[in-house]
Amino acid sequence: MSHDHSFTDDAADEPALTGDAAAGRIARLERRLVREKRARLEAEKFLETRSRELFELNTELRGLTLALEERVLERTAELAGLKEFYERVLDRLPAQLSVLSPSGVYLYTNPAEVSDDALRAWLIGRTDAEYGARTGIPVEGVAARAARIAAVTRDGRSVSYEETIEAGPEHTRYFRRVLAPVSGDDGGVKYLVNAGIEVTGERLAEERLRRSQKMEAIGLLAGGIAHDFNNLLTIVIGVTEALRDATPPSSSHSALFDELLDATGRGAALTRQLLAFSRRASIETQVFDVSEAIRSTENLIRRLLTERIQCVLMLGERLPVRMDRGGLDQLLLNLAANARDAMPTGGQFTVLTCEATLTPEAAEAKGLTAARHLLIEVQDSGVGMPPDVLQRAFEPFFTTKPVGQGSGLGLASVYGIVIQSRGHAEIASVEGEGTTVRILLPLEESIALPAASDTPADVAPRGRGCVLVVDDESGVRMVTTNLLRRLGYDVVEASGGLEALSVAEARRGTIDLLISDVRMPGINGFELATALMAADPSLDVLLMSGYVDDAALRDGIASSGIPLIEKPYRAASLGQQVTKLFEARRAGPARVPTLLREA
Amino acid sequence: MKGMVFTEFLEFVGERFGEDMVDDIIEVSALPSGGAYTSVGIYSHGEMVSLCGALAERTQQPVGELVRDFGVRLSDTFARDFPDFFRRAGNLFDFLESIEAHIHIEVLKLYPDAELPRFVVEERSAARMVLLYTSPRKMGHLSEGLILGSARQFNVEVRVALETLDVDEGMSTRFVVELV
Repeated sequence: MSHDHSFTDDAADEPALTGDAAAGRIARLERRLVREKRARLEAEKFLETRSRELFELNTELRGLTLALEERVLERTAELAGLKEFYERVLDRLPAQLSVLSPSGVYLYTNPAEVSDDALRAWLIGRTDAEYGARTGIPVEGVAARAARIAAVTRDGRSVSYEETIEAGPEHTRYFRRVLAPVSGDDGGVKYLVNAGIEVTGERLAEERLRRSQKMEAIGLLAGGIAHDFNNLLTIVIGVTEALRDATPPSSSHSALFDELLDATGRGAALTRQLLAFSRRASIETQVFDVSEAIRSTENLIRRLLTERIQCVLMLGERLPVRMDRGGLDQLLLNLAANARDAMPTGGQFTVLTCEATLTPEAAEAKGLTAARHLLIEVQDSGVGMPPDVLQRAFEPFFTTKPVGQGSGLGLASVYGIVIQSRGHAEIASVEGEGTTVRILLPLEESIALPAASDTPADVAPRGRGCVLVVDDESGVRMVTTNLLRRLGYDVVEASGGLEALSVAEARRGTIDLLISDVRMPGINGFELATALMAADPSLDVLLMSGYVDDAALRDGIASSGIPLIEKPYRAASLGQQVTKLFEARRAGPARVPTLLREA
Repeated sequence: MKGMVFTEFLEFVGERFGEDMVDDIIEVSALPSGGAYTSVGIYSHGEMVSLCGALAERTQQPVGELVRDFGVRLSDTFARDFPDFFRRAGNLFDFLESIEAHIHIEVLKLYPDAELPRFVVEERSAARMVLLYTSPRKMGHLSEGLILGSARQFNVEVRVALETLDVDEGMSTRFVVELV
């Protein structure tokens, strides 16, 4: 019992008892002591039980604590691992990612979104308005972002959109983005996730492809026109030369015929430009030093530029390139002519050549595949071009010059020549400051020995033999057969491949030379030549063409070793080619064309 | 019932009627525990009923009055041993309201086997509170004493009216406590 009444204290306060009273008192006190003892024992027993329970609980608790600590350590490690995983993934995510509150406050943003660490840390807790004010994002852009955030928060639906960022002068970046809501437990929008990927590369590639397809289509059209025009010119030249040859030199008509031939020559030059642009010109590539080639054209360029324009050449050493040498001359002269027209009051025309260093990405972006490249940079200090003109500068027939002063084929043919030479051309211009054309071409390892010059004489040599002339264009066939007969050859003719096969069959063994157009309906000239040479290996062949639109056919002819004469041709050229073939026939053993050797 | 209530009761009897009265009521009650109580033990509620009945008979005083007076004294013990409950409440009504909400919860943490009554506040205004006490032990007067004693701890004078109700789970008493 917690109350404590001792016998002594009670005895001191009370009068002394005697007899039964004393005995009763003692018995009462003894019972009280028994109760006290019993209570004490019970308390001790309780305390002992409770102590044991507490000890066991404590032991259990310690075990639980240890297990808990272990679990906490495990979970902490797991969480640290997860944190590290997500941080690593988000830090290296090749996409921009931000998490915002429904009110547009940034809660998280990854390095792809904001690469500057300090700026990224600053952005947390701020809005696009503050970000825009600091980084210079236009107000309209900030307003558009805020409107999207409000719409997604309100509707609870994600939106996809494209965003354009002006990253600098003439440097626009394009992004494809998704702004998506993240719901909380109550179903309302708790966060907004904004993910974006940069599609600038794709956009530029699409633009390049679009332009390339446009140029391809125009090229196809131009090539077709050039082909028909070459046929017409071939007839005009053939007839004119026939008439001139039949006219006494003293006749006043003789000079008119010369004038007519001169005009057809200019027409032929135009079709060459067209074909150069359409990349369908027959070209003879060779490896030569670009700088040396430019130096050899320097006088011509200076004459073209006139004295009021200073010509500066900054040419690197040993820059071998594989291309059509004539194509390079044409390219330079076209650029020089444009530069001259852009500098009516004088200025400076600069040509620079050097080896160009391109990163693989830059090369790929320009559609270049070679390992090394050379740069030809042609610059003038002329009037320059406004952006809308610059954008169309390489298009054929696009010109800003007055009617009659420009064909619109100069830069177009430059473009065609460069592309045909597996290169890349680009143009930059600033109004009032001038224009720069940069041309990148694959750099070759070595330079081949220059081929011996073989300038044809202007006189058509006479000869003998039997020639089969095949052309679906009757006018061309007529002037060609007429010319060959005048030169002394026996001529049979056919208007197409099938007819030619019949004629050859009928006159088996009597035909020495086949002269055939390449591009004909049904059997083309190359197929015809192959068939006839298979039947008669001693047959000589000369193919003629205004242009060959099929690349595989063009390559087939080039690798077969069969000579090709380009339309329109002069009588002298055709005569010399035919003579050369007959002379070779007489001089040596039977010629075996490459395609038959391979067969 | 917690042994503390018994030890405190015997203290109360000893103080008011003398230690012999303590011995007497223990002896006449023929208690299973023999009256050897410890504050940490748990004893049958019937022993308390027997002790109270024996005390009333010996003193010729109504059981209700005795039990109520014991309640008043018990509240002093509570105030002495557990002052935080009173200090935290700040006033009588808050304290009475905290019995069910806080104090009993704390008691159960220490003594999970304690069988505690229920104190539900039915009404409360600035000067009046209606409490419903429910317990199978029918110790309504003890509760009345505790309410009166608690009022004393907060230095307020109250008038307490009791209404005894019979409910399924035992006896219920409705207290209407009014500040005077």
